[in-house]
Amino acid sequence: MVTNFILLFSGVSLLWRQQRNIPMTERAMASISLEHVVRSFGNQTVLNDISLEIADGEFLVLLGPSGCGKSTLLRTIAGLEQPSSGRVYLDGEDVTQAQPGERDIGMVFQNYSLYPHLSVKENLAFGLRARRTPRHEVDAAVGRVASLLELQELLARKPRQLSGGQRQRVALGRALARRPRVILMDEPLSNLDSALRDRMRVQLRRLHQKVGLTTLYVTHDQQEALALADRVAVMRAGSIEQVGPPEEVLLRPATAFTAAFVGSPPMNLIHIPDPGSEAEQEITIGIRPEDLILGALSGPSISLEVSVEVLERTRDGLLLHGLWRDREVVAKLPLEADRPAAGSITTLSASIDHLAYFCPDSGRRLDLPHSERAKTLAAAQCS
Amino acid sequence: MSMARRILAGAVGLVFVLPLWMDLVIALGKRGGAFHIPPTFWPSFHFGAMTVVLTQTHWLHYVANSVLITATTIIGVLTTSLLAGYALAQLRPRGSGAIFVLLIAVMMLPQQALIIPQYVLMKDVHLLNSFGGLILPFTASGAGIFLFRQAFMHMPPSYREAARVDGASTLYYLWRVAIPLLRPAVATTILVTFVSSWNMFQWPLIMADTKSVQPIELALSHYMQAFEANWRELTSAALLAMLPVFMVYGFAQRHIIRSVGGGTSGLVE
Amino acid sequence: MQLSTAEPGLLKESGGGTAAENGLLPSRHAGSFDGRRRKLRLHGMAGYLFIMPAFSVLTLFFYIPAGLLFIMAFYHWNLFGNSTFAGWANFSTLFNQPLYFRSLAETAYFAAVMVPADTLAGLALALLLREGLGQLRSGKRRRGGGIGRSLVFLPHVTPVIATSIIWAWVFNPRYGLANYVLRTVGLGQPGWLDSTRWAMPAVMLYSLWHSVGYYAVFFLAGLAMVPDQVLEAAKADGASRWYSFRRVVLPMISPTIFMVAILSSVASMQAFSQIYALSGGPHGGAGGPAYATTTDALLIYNTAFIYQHISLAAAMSLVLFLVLLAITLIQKRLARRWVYYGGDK
Repeated sequence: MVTNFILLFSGVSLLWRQQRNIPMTERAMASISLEHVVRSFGNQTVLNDISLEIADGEFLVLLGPSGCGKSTLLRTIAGLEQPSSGRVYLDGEDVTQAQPGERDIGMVFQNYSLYPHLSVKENLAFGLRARRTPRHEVDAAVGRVASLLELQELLARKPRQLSGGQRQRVALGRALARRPRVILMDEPLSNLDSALRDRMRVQLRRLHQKVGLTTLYVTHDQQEALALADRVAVMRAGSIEQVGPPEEVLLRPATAFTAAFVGSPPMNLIHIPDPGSEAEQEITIGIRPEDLILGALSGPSISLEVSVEVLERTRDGLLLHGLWRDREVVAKLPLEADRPAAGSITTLSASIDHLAYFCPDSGRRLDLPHSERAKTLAAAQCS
Repeated sequence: MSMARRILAGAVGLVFVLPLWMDLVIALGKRGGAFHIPPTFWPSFHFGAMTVVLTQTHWLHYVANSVLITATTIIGVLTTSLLAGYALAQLRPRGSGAIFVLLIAVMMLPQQALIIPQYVLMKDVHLLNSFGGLILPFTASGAGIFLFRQAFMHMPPSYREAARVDGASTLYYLWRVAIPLLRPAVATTILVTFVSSWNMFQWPLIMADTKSVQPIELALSHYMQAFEANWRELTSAALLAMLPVFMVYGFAQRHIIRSVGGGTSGLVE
Repeated sequence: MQLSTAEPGLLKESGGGTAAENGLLPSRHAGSFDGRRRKLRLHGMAGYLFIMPAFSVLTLFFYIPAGLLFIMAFYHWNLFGNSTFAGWANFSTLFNQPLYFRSLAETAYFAAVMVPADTLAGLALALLLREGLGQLRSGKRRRGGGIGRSLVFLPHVTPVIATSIIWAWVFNPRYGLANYVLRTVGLGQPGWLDSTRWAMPAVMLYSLWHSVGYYAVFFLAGLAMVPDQVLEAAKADGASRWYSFRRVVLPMISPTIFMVAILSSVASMQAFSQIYALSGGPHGGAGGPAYATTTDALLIYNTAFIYQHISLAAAMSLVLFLVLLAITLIQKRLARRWVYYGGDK
């Protein structure tokens, strides 16, 4: 009996103490580095050998469909999940085994997880108070993030008295109040309506410019990724498909998956026989909807005879949904373009310079010389 | 509910509290009022017997013992249930499923059949006639563990994750986050433990011979057997034992009744 | 994506549905992690550490006595010196005691009256006090029903000895309330607690008063599960109130009836405090007059603490233990088979 209690309290005191080793001083920001991170449950692999470098002050967005492992990766960096193998470094320090609280990170959860019984002020102060920071430092930090995020008027309120956007800002403030080395955000905008989401995106970007904190941001929304990111990492089924600036991901997708996932509307992927191979192999060609025009083009180009299905008007163009060899093809035309009637047959063309080529098996991008491209198209009889 | 049924329900309710009312009538009645034929049904507000109970006898001492035992038991049950419920629901060490079954299976043990070996054990560990012996065995409860485990499982895991990322220690998280969020479970545990601990009789009857540790229920039974006809003082002392229960019941009867139906709703705020 | 199984013993978030919990995945990854630090091991132990206070209390004060019971019953147990092995001697002594069988008979009598009384009166009270499901849903609470329920439940939370005092007065043959009422309506006036014939009914009346509100709450919860539409449909089919109660309501609350019957029988077979308080007296040893209310629980107490024969009491306890455990286990088994639990199972 007595022994039990002694055991309990010695254990408990260790639990108290182990969180105490982070000095609350002004500190340099940090890079994140992942080395061959694997996470598997039995024979199911959720993260498959992921290596990634996130530079100091960089805003990196993990983009991918749900179930691709992006949240698991984020939680692994946070220390909420342990990798099966591989290493996680923060600012060069191996934190693979460290507790979440020891890693000195800020995290914004999808549902915000604001403590409903605490006021905004207490929510903001939670992390600092948990580390027994002196009262005046806590107040200063709360004041700082409150003014940064314009929360001064809301400090006395409870989370349930806040609007969605305000809650979002408090969640952000709670992550920032401790001056963490990096900040991790897990789909932070997905609970907001679209107008608010548009505004928060800009605010987030502005905030990052002001604070300059290394940020890792998880989303399935490519619009968020393209708007916010310094670099985007596209994930699929536990692996990273491509890492690069948004423009590169958008304009030069490294894989057919990225091509089909990014861009609105995404790239058209069509499969044609590959004349370069002996067997009847195919090659995948990607054409961005913006690169397709009505009618024929002079010079080396691809031309598709499509039957027009639907014309869809958007803010910045006219989307033509057509069928070519039973596959849907989308072209983005200027709003003032002539509109072919639905059901009619029309020709869509794109310059050969704008085409992307992907290996049909691996999905990897192929960099074919100009002459090869022309030959491919000629053989496929679609130019 | 029709008018007739409401009246009938009220009448039945009155029949149920009539004995309690008669306790008050006799306690605050005239000397010898208990022997009156036919009985009196209205108190005459003579506080003589109550004054004797409050000032000239040891009743307050027994009330103090009951308060001490009950309060300590409540704190104990809350602590052990909270820690165990948290571990079983959120930490889940290896074998926690089996441990959980073992802990709540205590509720299936027939208490009446254990009292003899429990007496032998309490004697062996020198806990007879001590507050420890009246408190310690009841500082853990299968029902409390069950309740807190359920409550922790209903709580979104991200609260705990957020606290962990913020560097909160486990105890800080439990104190600042879990307890406030699980207020309904805490309240239920307090109420149920209060009622069972305050009303405890057989255990002290067997385990506590010395007056210094006896709770009021036990003292009442001794007094009842010794001075059967002293109805005014007896009923006054009984009123003293019932009063805390009435007060708690008045404030929280809905909560108490709901917790009986085994309702698991509203564990988390 | 949100598979949140993680670091063994530390991070497995609940919420009731992680893959590991559902048995889809092993709860531990086949980790090839080198060099776990001490801290992590401590965290792995934290779970056990937190369970330990509850575990030790329940083990020490309940499981160990339960084990001890099996030993004691087979020993000549001596509180102050050596105990010697007795084999079945305690039981043969026990089974040669007419008083033991008398106590079993009294226990059976008590339970045989209390179980139907608790069940029927509890159900009747619940029917009287119940509010329509619609009212419950809409949150409109009729004060009348609420107050009735509160008053009926109140006795259950009152301390047994304190309320036994006033009931002892109620049952006083000369000036008590019970005989006053009987006199008023022109019935005979029994001696109640002084009479070998009426002491047990008096204890039963008190027990019913103390417990029936508790069971009524179970029935109220059970009745609240019967959807109004079902009753309306029965009404539309032209069913009388009695018919729809018997054919619709009763089958749907059968789990509650079953549960209340079991709870009541387990409680009745262990009843102690109210019998002790109402049947005691300055004569030493409760359960009077003339053993009229000496149930099994009372006899165990008297045997151990008045007659100082603790081994015999242990043997009696062991019998009680096995009987009650058997009832509980049979209930668990039967509950699954017999009773309508809603849904399409």
